[in-house]
Amino acid sequence: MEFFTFLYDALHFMVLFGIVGSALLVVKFKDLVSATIALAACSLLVSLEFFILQAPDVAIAEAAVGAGLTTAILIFAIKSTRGREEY
Amino acid sequence: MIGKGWKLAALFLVVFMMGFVVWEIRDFGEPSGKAVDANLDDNQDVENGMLVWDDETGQIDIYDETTDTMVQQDRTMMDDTFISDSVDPNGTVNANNVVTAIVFDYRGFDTLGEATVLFAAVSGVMVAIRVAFPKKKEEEGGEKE
Amino acid sequence: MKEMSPIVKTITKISFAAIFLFGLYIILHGHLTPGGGFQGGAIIGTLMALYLVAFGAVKWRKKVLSIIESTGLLVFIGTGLLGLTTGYFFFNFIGGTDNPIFGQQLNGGELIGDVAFPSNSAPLLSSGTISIMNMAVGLEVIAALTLIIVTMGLFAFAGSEEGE
Repeated sequence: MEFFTFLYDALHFMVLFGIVGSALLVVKFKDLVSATIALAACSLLVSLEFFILQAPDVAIAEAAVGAGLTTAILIFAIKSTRGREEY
Repeated sequence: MIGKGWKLAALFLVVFMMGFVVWEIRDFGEPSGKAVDANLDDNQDVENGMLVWDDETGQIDIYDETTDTMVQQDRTMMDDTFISDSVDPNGTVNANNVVTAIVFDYRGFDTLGEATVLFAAVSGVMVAIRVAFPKKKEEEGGEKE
Repeated sequence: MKEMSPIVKTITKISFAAIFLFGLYIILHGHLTPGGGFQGGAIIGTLMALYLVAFGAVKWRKKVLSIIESTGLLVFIGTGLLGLTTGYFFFNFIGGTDNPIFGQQLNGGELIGDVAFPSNSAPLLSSGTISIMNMAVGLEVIAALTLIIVTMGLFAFAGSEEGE
């Protein structure tokens, strides 16, 4: 039984570090489309985190809205403007 | 520079974090042993596995006879009432998923607000997009970009 | 606007029904399993985004969508107001009263201490106004998110707004 709790905690920490990592990636990417994909990955991991913390309703909502609709709208926005970020 | 106010913001953040930590590690003290079970009056002693309410923290503790200690549950009286009321067959809620029961029955009025907010957001989007790009039919030279 | 490859189109055609069914399942079983009106509606909203991306700017009838959205919200407010018949706004007047439409009772589950923990098997038509509100909010969220996606999609793809 001890092994499973270890696995569970390991998964939990991997997801947490994944969220922070993908959030940093969002900022690092110059190409906006890949930044949006990183954002989708981040919200997918947040949804997984909600699931791990036993909140399935919020996980479904976050997955559908965060990864699905926000990415779609951002990509629509990128389509009508320039694809790269310059400063 | 990220605008001039960032020092003040950083200060507030630090103060807030310290306050939060202090509030978080406060000591709850010994459970007071107030009886929760309906059939247990105050001076009756607490049997094994009986729910006892600690009125300082509002937490529920279960008396564990083997170790003769109060095992603190992470449920409060309020959680218990919500859970048992929403699955009570002769109650009025009768929903298995307590989260949905709360969202639509106990706090239905807030969900009404949320639905109206979504409605307003959609109308806002449609108005904004329509203003930026009027339909080609009515106006010949509808500007492209 | 370059067309999507036929692979994407066929995949969308195949998976459209499955995702739509899944969204409806989440809405209808809102009071039994995790999920509910908003979550199911968001899933179907994502499906509309997929459809729009796969098949390009589609001529959606905005009037129909706005009507669906308004009916969803009105049904939601209606059930709330109907609760007034028993004196409280948003009162669950159908739940647990054995009324065949949505009033069937849960089978109680087992008691631990003095708290009744839910059993998993519960009738579908069981929780009165909660199911009605689930469907109403589901309907409203489907139409709302579709409207947002379609409006923005047409704005991005066609550069001007043609859907009527």
